[in-house]
Amino acid sequence: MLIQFATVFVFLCLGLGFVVVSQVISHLIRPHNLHPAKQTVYECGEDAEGSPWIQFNVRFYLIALFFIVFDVEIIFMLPWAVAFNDMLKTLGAFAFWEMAFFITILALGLAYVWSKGDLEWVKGLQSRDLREVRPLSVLTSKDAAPHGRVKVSEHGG
Amino acid sequence: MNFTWSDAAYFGPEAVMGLTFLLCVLGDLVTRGRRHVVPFGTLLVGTAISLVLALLHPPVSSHAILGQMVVVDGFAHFFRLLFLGITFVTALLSWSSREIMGRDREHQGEFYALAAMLCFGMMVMAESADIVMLALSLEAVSITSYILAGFARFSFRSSEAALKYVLWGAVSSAVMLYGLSLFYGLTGATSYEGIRAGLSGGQGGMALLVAILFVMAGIGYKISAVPFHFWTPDVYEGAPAPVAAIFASGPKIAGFALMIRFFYVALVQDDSQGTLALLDDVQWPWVLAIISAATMTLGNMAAIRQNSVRRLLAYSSIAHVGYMLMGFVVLSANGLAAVLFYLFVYAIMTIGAFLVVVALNNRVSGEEIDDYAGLGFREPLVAAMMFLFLISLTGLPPTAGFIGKFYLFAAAGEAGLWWLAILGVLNSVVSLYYYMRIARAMYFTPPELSGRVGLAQAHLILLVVLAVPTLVLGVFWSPLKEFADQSLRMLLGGG
Amino acid sequence: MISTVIWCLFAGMTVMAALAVATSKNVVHCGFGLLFSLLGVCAMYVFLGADFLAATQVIVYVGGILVLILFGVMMTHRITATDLKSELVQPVAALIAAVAILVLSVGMILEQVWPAKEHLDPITPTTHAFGVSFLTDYLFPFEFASVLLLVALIGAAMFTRDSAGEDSDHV
Repeated sequence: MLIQFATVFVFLCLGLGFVVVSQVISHLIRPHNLHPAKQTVYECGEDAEGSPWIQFNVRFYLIALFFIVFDVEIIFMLPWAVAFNDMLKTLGAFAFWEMAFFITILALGLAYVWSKGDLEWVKGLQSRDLREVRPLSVLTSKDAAPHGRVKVSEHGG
Repeated sequence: MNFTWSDAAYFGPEAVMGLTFLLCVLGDLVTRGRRHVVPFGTLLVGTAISLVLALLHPPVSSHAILGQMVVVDGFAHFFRLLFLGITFVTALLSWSSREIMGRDREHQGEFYALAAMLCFGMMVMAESADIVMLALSLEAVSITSYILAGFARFSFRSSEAALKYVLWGAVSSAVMLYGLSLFYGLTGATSYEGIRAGLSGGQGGMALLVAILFVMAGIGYKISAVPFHFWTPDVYEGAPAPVAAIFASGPKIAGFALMIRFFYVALVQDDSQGTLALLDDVQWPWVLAIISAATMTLGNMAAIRQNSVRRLLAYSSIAHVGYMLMGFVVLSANGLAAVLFYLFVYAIMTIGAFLVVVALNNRVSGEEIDDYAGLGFREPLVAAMMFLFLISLTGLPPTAGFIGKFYLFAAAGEAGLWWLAILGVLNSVVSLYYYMRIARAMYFTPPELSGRVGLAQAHLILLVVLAVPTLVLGVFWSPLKEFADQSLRMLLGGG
Repeated sequence: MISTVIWCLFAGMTVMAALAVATSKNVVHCGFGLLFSLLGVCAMYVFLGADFLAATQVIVYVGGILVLILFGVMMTHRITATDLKSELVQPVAALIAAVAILVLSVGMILEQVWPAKEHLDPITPTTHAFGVSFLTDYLFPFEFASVLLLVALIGAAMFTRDSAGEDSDHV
């Protein structure tokens, strides 16, 4: 079996090698013509403001937590799927119902987070931030960052 | 296929509790978290049904069911009844507790779901007969406990308690899992019976020592035995009082049940004359005897210095773990019967003492010993009950605590561990001092305020319900002792 | 033997990355150190013939837990300014514990013959066997795990939920 993983290893080495080689080559052949303006961070032609280390929204974390739970569920389902055809012969429909039961219980978890509003990104945002005393004009203007938070993902371009 | 429907009959009470958990979650969802009586009622009904099922079909012989993952026998039955009782009582006492059901609280519905899950996990813990099940059930109880510890989410102390609990729990779980994997490596089996069979060949050595020590560390954390006890006072103080009452009784008792089954099935053999002997040359009872001595001494010494009633009770619960370990290390049926007896009594008196804390919570100015000043004049009934529980915790006659301690010390003496028994008696004397500090505050310090404190009716009724067995078992204990003896017969006779 | 060389490569990566996690003062570096450490452990599983476990390691730990940890890091206020405390606390007790564990582990590894090795076949892929076990012997633990996951999910939601989420429909 180790030999099958050797492909993975070769792939890994090729990937790493590609990065290293291209960096080295570009370092060797590029002209070294430094200028202070070239050293600045490129941000759509604007002057970069503040630190790039911004504070992420807690909601990312919540979603990531849910993701992990269902990630583990997938891990449990994978071997079941691999063995399913063989086990169908010996166990019959039981092999199916067993996984159905497993998924039902986790579906209850999904129903729980859904019904409690944990999945609703925008609603949660409003409920927290709209209630803080902010002038309406700020909220309606498009680029207003919610109080105390820095927006993510809108400065990419 | 190892699964048969006839198994379900033996597993009924557990299955009902598992279903109760799911129904509590569902009930909370259907009512959109607005009618807390739905999950609460579901929990009470589920526990009652489970209790009835358990009482109707007490196991007459040992059944290894669900693919030999769990064993339902008299031992499991004993703990099953105990856990169901604890869940029932704690559910009732939470319903009228301000810390859980107060107006500003959230997640009330989830609380009852988690209580059901905790009960389910504890029952499975007491029945596990396979290290896979051991690890899973221990994790289930631990994860549920972490959530309950941090239940008062916006209380700084509660969050701190939960965080400490999680960190300690994660580390000790990891250590224990490593130990369990060594058992598998040594024997090639995951079931307790298989491990025993594998170890009979005499593969002892360093790996077995490490495996046993690491498993002890994991279980030691769960029962808060001494080098792993640091989380206990903080968690009991930070968590809401009803949760602390559950923690002091439920998971700790489940930890003992798990430990007894694992060590006595996998690592001890019965040499046909009814005496128990070690399978191998690793002298783990000695390690545990030293842990027992350290646990009771450190627990009591630390309790003396406490001014907070909750921290005092937390350290006292640590000390009690030390006493109970005494019965565990002697390798005799008598010792184990004493542990079972004491666990039962301990659950009643600890929940009772914590119930007083719950009942007085927010009604007197705080939870320091001084805040209980003059309680004997303001609430004579509550003070009298508290006094009874304290007497029982100390181990003075005519209470159940005295009988329990007597059996424990006798078992230790019988096995020749006189030093441990004497240390236990000395520790009990020390504990009298700090328990009586509460009593002195209640009866000999004049109250700052006069008039009744005004307690929830439900709490008073529950207090009486708990006080009665504390007193009755002190004079009429033989039925419980016989029940404990009988429960062990299948466990020890089986192999 | 080429596989031994590769093994040493991965083992070295695992240990070095773990050391970096333990000693680095920058919490972001710790996170990325963990990435390499976890990948190294994955390679160890491959060498042990545990292919399913290796896949799990990548999917759950590298793909899930690590992302979660990095999110946690990103959520800390002023990450780069946070100086991690990694000085020694109670060096004597720590040293005793560490030496004891080291001696026990090394002694154990040197002396022990593992009987369980005979049951194992390092060549066969394991995923199918896992599936069969889930459906037969380990059916109850399998279903129990789903309940365990549900509790974990509920707990995670309870702890991280915005308090406003409860009454948000009033807005």
